[in-house]
Amino acid sequence: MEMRSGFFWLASLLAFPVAGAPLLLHPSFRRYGASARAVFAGAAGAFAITLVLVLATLAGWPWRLLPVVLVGTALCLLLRLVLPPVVPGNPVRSAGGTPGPVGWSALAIIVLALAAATAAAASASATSPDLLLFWGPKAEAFSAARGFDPEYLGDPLHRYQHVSYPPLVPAVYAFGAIAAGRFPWMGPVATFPLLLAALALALPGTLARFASRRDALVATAMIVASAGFLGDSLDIAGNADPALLLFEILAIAVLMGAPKGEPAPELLAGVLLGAAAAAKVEGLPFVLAAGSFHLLRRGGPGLVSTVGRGVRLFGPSAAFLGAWFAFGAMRGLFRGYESYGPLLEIHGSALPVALRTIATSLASAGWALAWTIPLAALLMAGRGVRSSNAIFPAAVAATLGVFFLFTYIHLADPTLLIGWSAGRIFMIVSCLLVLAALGATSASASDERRSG
Amino acid sequence: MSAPRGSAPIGLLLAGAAALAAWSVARLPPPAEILRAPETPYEHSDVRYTAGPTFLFLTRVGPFVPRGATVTIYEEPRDPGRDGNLFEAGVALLPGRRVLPAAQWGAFTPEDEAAAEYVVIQGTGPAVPPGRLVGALEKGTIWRRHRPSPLGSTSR
Repeated sequence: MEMRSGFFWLASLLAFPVAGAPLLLHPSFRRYGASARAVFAGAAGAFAITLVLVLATLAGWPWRLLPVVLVGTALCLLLRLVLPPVVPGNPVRSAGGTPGPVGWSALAIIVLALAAATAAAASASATSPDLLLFWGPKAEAFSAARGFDPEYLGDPLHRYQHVSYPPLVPAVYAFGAIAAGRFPWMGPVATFPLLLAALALALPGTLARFASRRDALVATAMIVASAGFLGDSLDIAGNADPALLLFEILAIAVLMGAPKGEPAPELLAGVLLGAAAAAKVEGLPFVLAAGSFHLLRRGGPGLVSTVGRGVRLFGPSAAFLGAWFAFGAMRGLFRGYESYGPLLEIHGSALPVALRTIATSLASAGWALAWTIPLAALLMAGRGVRSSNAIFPAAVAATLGVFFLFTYIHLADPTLLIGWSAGRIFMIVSCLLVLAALGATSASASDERRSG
Repeated sequence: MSAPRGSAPIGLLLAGAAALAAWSVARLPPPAEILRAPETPYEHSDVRYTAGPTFLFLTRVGPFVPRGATVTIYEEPRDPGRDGNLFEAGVALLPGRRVLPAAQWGAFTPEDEAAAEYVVIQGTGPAVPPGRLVGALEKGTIWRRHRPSPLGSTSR
C-alpha cells in the first residue's frame, strides 16, 4: 500500500515538467540541451502550479489536479509569449571541447554520489526531522482541505509549524498526496536524490555556456558530491533544502552564462528565483542578492531596459510572494515572515559566539571540506578571480553569509539555532564558491587563449 | 610543456568531489540494511532512537482513534520536552484527529491534555487509568476518557 502510493506520489511529480514545457520549448532554451530543459521545465512547472494553488485558495476554489495543471501550463505559455519568437544572432553553441579523462572521471564521481544519495534516502539515513515536524503535516492538512487550510494554519497549537513559511514544498507534497490518495512518508524522502539527479542533469549543459565541457562536468561533480554528502550528514531528505538548492544553483548558473541583452535566460532565471522565494524563507534574500548583483554587473543601456530586466528577474518572486502574503493577510494569519525580533535589534555581544559556532557547525560536517575546497580552488584561479563570473557568485555567497550571521545575532544566545541550521543553510555558500571557482578558471583560460 | 593554469583549481575540485563522494559511500549503512525496506523514514537517521520508535508506535495507534476525535499523547514517566515532541509527532501521524498537547514549548499543558477524548500513553502503563482501555500495543496503550473536560484556553 505504502509502496504503491509512493509510486503514484512520485509519478505525479511528472505533471510539473509537463506544465513547464510550453516555456522551455521556446527555441531560445535549446542552448542548454534536452536534459537541462526538462529539469528547467520541472522547476518552472512547480513554480507555476504552486502559484495557481495559492491563487485558487485566495479565490476560495478547492484544488482539483487537472484544472490546476492546465492553468499552470497556460501560465507558462503566457510567460513564453513575452519572449521574442526568434532570437536573431543566437546560434546554439555546442559545449566547448570533449570531456576527456578528467571529464569522464567527473561523470563517474557524479554517478557514485547519486548512488550514495539514493542509498542514503532508501535506507532512511538522511531523513530530516522537519519532515515530521512541519513539512509533512502541512502537506497532509493541505491535501485533506484541498487548499492552504486557514483553520489549520491559524490554530495556535500549530504555531510551531512556521505558518508564514513560503508554501511550494508542502504544496508539491500535497499535490502528490491528492494524486496518490494518501501521503506516503518515504515519497518526500526520495526527492533528495531525485533533485540531486536533476541538478546533475541540468548543470553541465548550463555551465558549458561559459566554461569548457570538462570544467563544467568537474564543477557539477563537486556540487553534486558536496550536496549529497552534506545532505546525508545534515539530514535534509524530505525538507525544503534540496529544492531550494536546485532552484538557487540553477538560477546563478543560468545568469553566469546569460549573453548580454537576451531576455530568455533572464526570464528563466527570474522563474527559478521565484521558485527559490516560494520554497524557503532564505530564498528571498537570495533573490534580492542574485538579481541585484546581476543587474549591477550587466547594466542595461537605459532606464527602460533596466526596468524590463528587473521585471524579468524579480517579477515572478514578487507575484508569488504578493499572492502568498495577500492570502495570509486576508485570512488574518500573517502579514510577513516570522522573525527573531525587530530588524535592528541585534546582540553585538553574540557575534563572537555566533562566528565560533558557525565554524564548529561547518567543521563538524566533513571537516568543512565542502566549503574550504572550492574556496581554495577559487583562490588558485589566478587573474580570473577578478572576472565578473567569479565575483558574481562570490558576492552572492558573501551577502548570504552576512545575512545569516545578521539573523543569528538577533538572539542573545544563538548557539542552539546555529547548531540546528547553519550546516544546512550554508550549503548554498559551498555551491556558490564552486561556481565562482569555475567562473574564475574559465576566465583565466579565456585570457590565456587570447594572449596566445 | 606546462599545464594550463586552469588545471590546478579544476584538479582540486575533482579531488574534492571524489573524496566527498567516497565519504558519502563510507557513511552508508551495511548493504543488507540498504536493500531492506525501512520500517520508518528515520531508521538510520541521527534521530533514529527517538523519532523511529515514536513513528512506528503512532502509526499503529491510528486504527484505535477514530477520525474527528480529540486525542492527547504523553510518555510515562512524564517529561515535558518529550511530551511536546509526542504532540508534534501526533499532529503528523494522526491526521484527521484533533491532537491536543500534553506539553508544549517545554511546559505541561494540563488543560489541553484533560480535554482530549482519547489518551495515548507511550511507555509503561499509567498508575491511574485515565479511562477505558481501548488498545494495547507493545510500546504503549490507548484509552478513552469517560468525560473529557471542556477545551483549554489555547486549543479552543
